[in-house]
Amino acid sequence: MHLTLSSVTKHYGDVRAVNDVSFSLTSGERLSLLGPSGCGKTTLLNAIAGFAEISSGTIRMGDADISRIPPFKRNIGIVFQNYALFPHLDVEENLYFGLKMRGVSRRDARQAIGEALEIVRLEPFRARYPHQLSGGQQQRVAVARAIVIRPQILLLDEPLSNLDAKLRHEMRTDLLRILDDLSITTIMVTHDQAEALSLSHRVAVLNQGAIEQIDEPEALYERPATHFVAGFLGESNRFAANLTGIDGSFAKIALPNGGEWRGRATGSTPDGGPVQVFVRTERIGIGPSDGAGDNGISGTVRTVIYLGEERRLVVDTAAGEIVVKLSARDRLGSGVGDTVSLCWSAQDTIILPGGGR
Amino acid sequence: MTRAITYLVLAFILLPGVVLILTSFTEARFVSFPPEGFTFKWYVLAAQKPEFIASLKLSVIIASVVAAASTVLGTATSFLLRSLSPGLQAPLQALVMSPLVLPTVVIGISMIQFFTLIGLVASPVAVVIGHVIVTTPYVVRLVSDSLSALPRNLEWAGSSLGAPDWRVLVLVILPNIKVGLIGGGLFAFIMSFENVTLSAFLATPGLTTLPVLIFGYSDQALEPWLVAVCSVTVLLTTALVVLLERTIGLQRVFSAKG
Ligand SMILES: Nc1ncnc2c1ncn2[C@@H]1O[C@H](COP(=O)(O)OP(=O)(O)OP(=O)(O)O)[C@@H](O)[C@H]1O
Ligand SMILES: [Mg+2]
Repeated sequence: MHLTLSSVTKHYGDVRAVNDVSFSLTSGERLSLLGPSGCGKTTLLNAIAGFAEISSGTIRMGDADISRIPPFKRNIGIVFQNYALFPHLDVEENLYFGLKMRGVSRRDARQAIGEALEIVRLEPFRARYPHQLSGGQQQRVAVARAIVIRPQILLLDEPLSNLDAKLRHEMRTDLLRILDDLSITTIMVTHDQAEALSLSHRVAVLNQGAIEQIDEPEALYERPATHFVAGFLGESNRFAANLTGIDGSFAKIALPNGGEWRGRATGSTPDGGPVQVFVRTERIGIGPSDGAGDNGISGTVRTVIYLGEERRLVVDTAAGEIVVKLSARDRLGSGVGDTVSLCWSAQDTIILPGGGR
Repeated sequence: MTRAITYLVLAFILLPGVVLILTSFTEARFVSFPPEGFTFKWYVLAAQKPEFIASLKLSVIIASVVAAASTVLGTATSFLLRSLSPGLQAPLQALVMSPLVLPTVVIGISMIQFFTLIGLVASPVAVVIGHVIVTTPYVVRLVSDSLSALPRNLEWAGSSLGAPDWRVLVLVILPNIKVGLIGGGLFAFIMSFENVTLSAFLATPGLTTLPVLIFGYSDQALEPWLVAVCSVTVLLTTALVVLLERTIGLQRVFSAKG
């Protein structure tokens, strides 16, 4: 089912919790909503589900305008952050609830419930009450309860946030399989960037109620359109610089310290003027520059933080402090106080117009 | 040491009831303690007193009606309070709870005046209304507690699954505040059943509840059959209190949270 939001706005008093949001999802498409706490993700989901009446704009499912119809008529499945299972009903009854509202007899419901429980692998737990289940199991019941009614749209609000890292990882795989099997149009809120990038076809980054950018995961990560997105996704080093010229697909930039780098030029890159340069921490390597297109700078290692999978270095350079994330495989021959040369490719040097800090 | 004190206090509280019940089995014609012998004859005698039976019946009927009415009213009030904005909620909550802090005598006097004014005095309806006013706050407190423990998401889950508001109420909300409803109803029953002050104010010769009947005899010599009557009320209330404790725990009824 298509879902189309046009200029959806939701006020809470003076607060614009959702500000002029428009996007359109095709049937079966999965969208992740990503953004800092309080940016309006939950409010947007609640508006789509119908719990919070929108102040202006329209929401369409297929061709029908659903902006003003009550939630119980929308046929939208939702999985809440706290699961919101009915505590007085066992697993089977929780799943039967939605079917009962649709006038399905208990006998006819048995098969649908069985199938939904099979999808989330919880068949042996039919007769358990929510409080007798682990957090991960409850979450799966919540998913099963939402999908058993065959909703046309599925909304997931931080579905994995209450789980520990390991279970979260397992559930992410399970959820992806479930979502693929069902191919229901899905919107998922998450704080976890890896989750957003891995589970969805497109990702929308929200900031202060408005969409900063909505794009496919790789495009969003590799070609951020705004300073906010470049800074929010992953971890970047940011430099203020001046654009001095365009050379084919590369842009020449001059740093305040006199250094010259080359960055990736796109259609929207200006011809000159102040720009912000973003270089992701994991794209920087240690060692002498080995390609003609590369940028480099030398500096002194200030700190090394060991994190198991990776190591973080903070290096003092003439262009300011640079954070480098090295994978465990990268050899690190240097320690605190050593002089190192950093290098990265011009392709990984993102240039966005505008001044700033 | 603290343990000893606890037992002492407990004994002090329980002793009157125990003495009362033991005394009711005495064979003597006058109230005496320790009881002489053992007999049920005072209970039999009490059961043959029409005034006792009539007032017991009246008390049970009134308490049942009061329990039902204040449960419905208190629950509706709790829902109303919950739907208000926080700024409005606190003052209204205080207003609803105010009968708890007013002395019952004051309420009784003002109600006589009020009922006289509207010509309703000396009717069982007046007694029921009087009781409902003092029992409803307890229901509101218990039901509001249950409601506030209920996540909003639960209702949303219900409506997203296709339930209109009334089905969300019946299938999601009410089952989850059952404890508050039952506790509130039971407590209202007890409060009404043992109420003397209001019933006495609003009672008339034909309308005597059990506690008022007992109270009426208090200036005469205590007869064993009356002690038996008292024992019955003590046992009945105790049974209800135990039931209440079993369903919700008493500390929730009396918790300071207003
Ligand atoms: N019922 C409400 N009344 C008033 N303001 C609200 C209400 N609900 C949310 N807000 C405000 O709207 C903004 C967006 O809130 P929302 O819950 O949508 O954020 P979120 O992106 O889901 O945050 P988080 O990641 O922390 O869950 C916040 O500033 C919040 O304070
Ligand atoms: Mg949220």
